[in-house]
Amino acid sequence: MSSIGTGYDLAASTFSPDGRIFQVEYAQKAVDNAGTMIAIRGKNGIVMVADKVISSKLYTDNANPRMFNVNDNVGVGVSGNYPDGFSLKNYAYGEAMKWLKDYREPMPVQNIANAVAEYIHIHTLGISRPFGAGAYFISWNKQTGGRLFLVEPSGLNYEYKAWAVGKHRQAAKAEIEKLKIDELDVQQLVKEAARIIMAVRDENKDKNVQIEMGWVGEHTDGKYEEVPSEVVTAAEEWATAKLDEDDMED
Amino acid sequence: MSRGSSAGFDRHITIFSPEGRVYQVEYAFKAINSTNLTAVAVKGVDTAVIAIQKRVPDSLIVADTVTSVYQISQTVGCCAIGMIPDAKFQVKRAQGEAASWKYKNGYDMPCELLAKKMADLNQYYTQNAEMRSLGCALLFISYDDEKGPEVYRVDPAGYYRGMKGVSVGVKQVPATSFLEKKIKKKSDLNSTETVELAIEALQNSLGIDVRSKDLEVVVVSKENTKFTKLTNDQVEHHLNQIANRD
Repeated sequence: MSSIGTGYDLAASTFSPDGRIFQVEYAQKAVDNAGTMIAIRGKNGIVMVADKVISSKLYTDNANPRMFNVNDNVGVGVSGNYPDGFSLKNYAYGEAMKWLKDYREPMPVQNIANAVAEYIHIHTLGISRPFGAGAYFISWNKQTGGRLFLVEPSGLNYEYKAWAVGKHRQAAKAEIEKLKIDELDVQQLVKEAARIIMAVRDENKDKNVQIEMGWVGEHTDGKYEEVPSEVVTAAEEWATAKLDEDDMED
Repeated sequence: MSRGSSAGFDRHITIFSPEGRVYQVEYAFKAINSTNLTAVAVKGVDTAVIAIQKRVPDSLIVADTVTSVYQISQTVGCCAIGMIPDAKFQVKRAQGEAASWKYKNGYDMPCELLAKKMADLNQYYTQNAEMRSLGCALLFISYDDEKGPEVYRVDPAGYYRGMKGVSVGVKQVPATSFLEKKIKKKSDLNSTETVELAIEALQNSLGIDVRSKDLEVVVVSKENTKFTKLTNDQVEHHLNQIANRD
């Protein structure tokens, strides 16, 4: 549903007659039209996957990553406009460093998510343009288990059991809901997540795509890491085989 | 809704229209209804209550993290209805103001002064073009040691008033009519009556049967001046009492 906000959509400082802020809604579209990114909380860890478009064969492997460490225990995955997302990652990193200096302990994931949400929200007030990017924050520890947060361009911030953003988010969410995610351990999650990303891709439109994954859980002792490329490749192979099998059954 | 004969310019920033209206502020009021929730607050003889609808947008969201009620200080609680990021921004500011007051003056910021401060900030946004008004309404409750229970409503225009009973949100009109009728008959409500009136007004205006998982109820009273959230069982008990009465 696209509505025309003519006249009321020029600045984030303007409400439309029905109380909407179109600039923020347009910023959300930047995330909605970008590559799919999903994050799923399983039994003993969380996995985050991004479907990246490789725009040139001249890039080195894993250039322009979408997933980073905010601190040792928290990972961030940015969706939408890449420079905007990169700026959010840097802000999160700065806040985590300040917390570490002030409190001598790593900044917990909820606090990071809230700080970034506030920062994003301030940009929706009209002083500058909104961020055309959103971010997942994930972490795992023994006491609280896994926690997954998503911050959107409007500044909205919720904790999720699993979620999908980007081009194929509806289809991805439907696939996620079919799984019993509370029972999956991280190794299975990685495979299922790869399968979902590959299943929702549009073969005609999504060319030159590559999967990027990050995880945190019991097996990494609560440290956020990039998933090793062998694991990603193995997951993709498993997923391809599973999808072919499903296709043959149809 | 007549738009008046204006050049259209006055809708972008906060300047007056030829009829003397500030359209941007009026549009901010519309944003309060964007989440389709309603809240009701009531004060009795020694208790103040807020009852709000709770709606979790998606089953994949962890329900405990979805809330519209916030603790501002030891003695003041509030609920914010409207655009959620704007609400959190105002709550953060209110918490800061209350903490700053406590630090400078040595005692807890009274509810009225906090409401006044938030209202003055809202008025600033309506007069300055640098930032837009925030699309949310605030209801503050507190048990003041001099004045007893208090309920204050603050809106995006910068207007604030103490209320005996008030409703904000999508169904505020039916809820307010219900409150007016009941409070006219009896305004010296005891603790249980206050809580039940708030819940009943909300239920009545929503027109559907509510269960305790669809409600958040927060209370301050003479016995317990600390802002407390009722458990699901306590809310269920009140809902049953209301149902049995009818």
